[in-house]
Amino acid sequence: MIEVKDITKRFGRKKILNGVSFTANKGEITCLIGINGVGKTTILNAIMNLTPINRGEILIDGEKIRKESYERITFIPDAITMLPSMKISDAMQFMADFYQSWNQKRADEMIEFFKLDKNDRLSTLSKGNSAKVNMLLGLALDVDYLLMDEPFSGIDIFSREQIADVFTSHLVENRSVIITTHEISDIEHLIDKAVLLNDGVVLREFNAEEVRENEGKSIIDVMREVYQP
Amino acid sequence: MVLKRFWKLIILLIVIITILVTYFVHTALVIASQFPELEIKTIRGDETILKNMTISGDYYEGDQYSSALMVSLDNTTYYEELSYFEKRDPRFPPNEATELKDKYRNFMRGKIYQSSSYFENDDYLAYVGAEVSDWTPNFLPTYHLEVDVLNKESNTSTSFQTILPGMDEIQYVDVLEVHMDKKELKVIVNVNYYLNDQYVNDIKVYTMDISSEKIVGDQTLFDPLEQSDKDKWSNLTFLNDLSAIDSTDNLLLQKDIGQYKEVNHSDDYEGEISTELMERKFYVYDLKTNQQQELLIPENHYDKLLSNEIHLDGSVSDTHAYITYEDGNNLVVLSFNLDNLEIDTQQTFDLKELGMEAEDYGINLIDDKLYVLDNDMQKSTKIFVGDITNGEVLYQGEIVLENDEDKSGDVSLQFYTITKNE
Amino acid sequence: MKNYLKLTNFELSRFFKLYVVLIGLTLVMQTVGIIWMSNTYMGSVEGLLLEGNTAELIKMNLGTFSFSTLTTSLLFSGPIIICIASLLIYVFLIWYRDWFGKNTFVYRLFMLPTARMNLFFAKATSIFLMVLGLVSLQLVFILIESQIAKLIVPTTYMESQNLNQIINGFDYMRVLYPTTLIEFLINYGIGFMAVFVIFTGILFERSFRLKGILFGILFAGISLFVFISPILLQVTILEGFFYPVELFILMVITGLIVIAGSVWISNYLLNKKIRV
Repeated sequence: MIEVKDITKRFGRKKILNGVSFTANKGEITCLIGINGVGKTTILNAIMNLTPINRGEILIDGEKIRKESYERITFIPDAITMLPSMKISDAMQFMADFYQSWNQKRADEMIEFFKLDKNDRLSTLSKGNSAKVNMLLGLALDVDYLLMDEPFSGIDIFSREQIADVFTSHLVENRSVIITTHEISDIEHLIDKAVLLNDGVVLREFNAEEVRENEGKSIIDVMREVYQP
Repeated sequence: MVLKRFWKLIILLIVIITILVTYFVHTALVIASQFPELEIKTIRGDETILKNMTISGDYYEGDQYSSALMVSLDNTTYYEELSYFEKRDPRFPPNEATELKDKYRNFMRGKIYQSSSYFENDDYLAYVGAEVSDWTPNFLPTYHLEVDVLNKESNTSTSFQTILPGMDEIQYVDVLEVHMDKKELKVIVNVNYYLNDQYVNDIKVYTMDISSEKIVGDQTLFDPLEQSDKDKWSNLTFLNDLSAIDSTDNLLLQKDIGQYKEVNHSDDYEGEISTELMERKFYVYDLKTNQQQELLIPENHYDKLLSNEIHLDGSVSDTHAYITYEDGNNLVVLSFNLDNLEIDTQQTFDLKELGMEAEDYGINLIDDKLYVLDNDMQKSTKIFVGDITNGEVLYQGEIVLENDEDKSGDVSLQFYTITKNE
Repeated sequence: MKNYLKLTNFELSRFFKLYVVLIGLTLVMQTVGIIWMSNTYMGSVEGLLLEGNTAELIKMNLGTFSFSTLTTSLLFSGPIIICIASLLIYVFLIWYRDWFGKNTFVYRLFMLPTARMNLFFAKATSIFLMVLGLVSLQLVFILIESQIAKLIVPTTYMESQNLNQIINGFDYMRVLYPTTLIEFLINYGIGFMAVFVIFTGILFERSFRLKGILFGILFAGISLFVFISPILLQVTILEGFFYPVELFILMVITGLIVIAGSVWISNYLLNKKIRV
């Protein structure tokens, strides 16, 4: 379980996050929803200790993040995090070098699934393929927690479909996922929990299933209520 | 596998280690063999007379390498061959003051390593240093005397600072001699300043009382007004050995008096001013009695002393004062009995006969012996030791390269002084 | 440890192509220089020989050919200056290239399951190794170049110089190539300490951005002050109290304090304050 407890983050005088709290449960897909610039990425960065927070705390299975935690939790940012001069195989080798949790079999499987050529250089990849490699590098780690930042933004429809297929496959099975997005249509049916953010605060945190069953509303319905009262 | 993965790191490490190790081994070997061994070759006499003596000078090889060096009977030490830390020592060659540093480590902290600033006897080690504490707005140094006296028995020291009384606008101060007698410290200081627009060097004897930490006596040896006379000039020279810690009670001073003369004067252009020496006198000052007396110089020596500039030298012991000068090929040593201030013996050494045909000499008078080095830059240096009490030549030798064949004609040596290791 | 070595090797690899170019440039420029200069010299010698001069006379007028003709020329020092400048710039670039550029590699680096200080040490080590590598290779190059000169200029006209004489004949080379190991350790120790301090300064900037530059400069200033404090004491209130060996030991200690401070603060910044 990832617990985000009352975190506040300032950039200069501006408060990007102002007392944000939510939890992401094991085996669930949690979606952080909000228009661009509400601090969704900052939350993911903060969970990964890639940016300091001014107040609050974040616990992963009850513990603060340590170097060993990076074998159990990984982050797939909105762009690839490897050097442009690397080939796909180099990037995979780099991951294999440093992570014990790297699963080469799964990586090869995904190369096949995404129809990628290992010898392509990252700098020459199309946006769609780049996003797929980015996915691959994160998903091929045997981790419990996966954070994804806008996995669908700016890529073509076919790549989107392929990536969306990943979520229903065994690649994500039994893992906790926190995903941020500003357009949820592609994955609405997959989401277990939604966290609606605006102006650095959580407007609403709810279980999609419960809302659907008890109130008969979809996530988009709730979003309309919250964002356009 | 590991090799293949880390080849860049491994290759770089191998390159660095191999080359640097080779370089330092090579360099160590080069430095060790950089300078030739020198030996003192005896021509005549017993070489043991040079036991405990150190001869210091410079070594030149072409115009590229040079190093200060010191030679003794047993070995040759080049400054450039010293270790990094040995090079940090304040003086090369070491003098009596630097040697004190090993014995009295704490006492010697922060002191100036000039032998004339020290006095040592069985009970005390005294130091008086002229130090600059500040600078005046018109860039003149503000001097004070740093006094520190170590009681060897109790291992305690009394230290205090004092200004130079009655002196301001000083240009330069030099401590010439320190002498201690019971609880009284005598400090002979050369003070340079302007008086009536003339640069004067004033020799002063300060008497300090250690227990009250005060200057109790202030004596000026020669009237500075004499030096500030615009028509006549006068100059004082202190002849005691500044490079050794003197134990004598006497000071030997030389006073020159001359006048300015315009030469090459014509109507077209102004002539140069030259100086003409008129009088040369020698004085002995007894620190115990505070008495100053003039040495009585017979007529036949006076003219020669007057015309000798470079090779004039002197030294003083408790009973005698010695003055040396060059007369043609001869080096003359006059010894004055301090009881009557008259010459009691006079020795002449024929330099040509001794093979010394240099332009200049290094002359040292140590323990009734005269040590003379030829001072020219040559491949070898002649040396002789004479007895000044009877004029006998005790030793004649030459400092030469041990293996002359290795080095081409580019090598030259120049030695300046001989000192005795205490 | 393993991760540190992997990261060091990785950091080296990232600069290796440019590094090889620097080495090549140095060798080529200096070799061209020595060939050109010895040929020019021999040209004049042959001209004078044709006019009927003896070798002795020519040596007197023209002088013998010395390797310092090369070492004092821009063809020799130019590439050295380029190498020094490149490495100095790279001290900064080695960090900033992870933040800037097409892909932000720093995300990956900070998410590695290893202490972030390993990054710091790996980067520092690669800088040190690259500096020492260039310094060592330059020695070999000097030997190669002096052999080339010997091929072109006959021994009669050649001033015989060993490696140390060549180095001694040139001022800044003496800083790069001291004759004793202890001086080598002092010179390069101070250099590497400075690299640590600059790294910490960079991490200050990367943590606090604009304000961080101020902290970085302040840190560098304090480091300098701490490091030279024994000298400051020595020349001011203590007036030469310390003996040279003591001063040396004190400065080794203050140097280590600076390095420890730099490592400690960098570790703190990397773990608590750094931003991607």
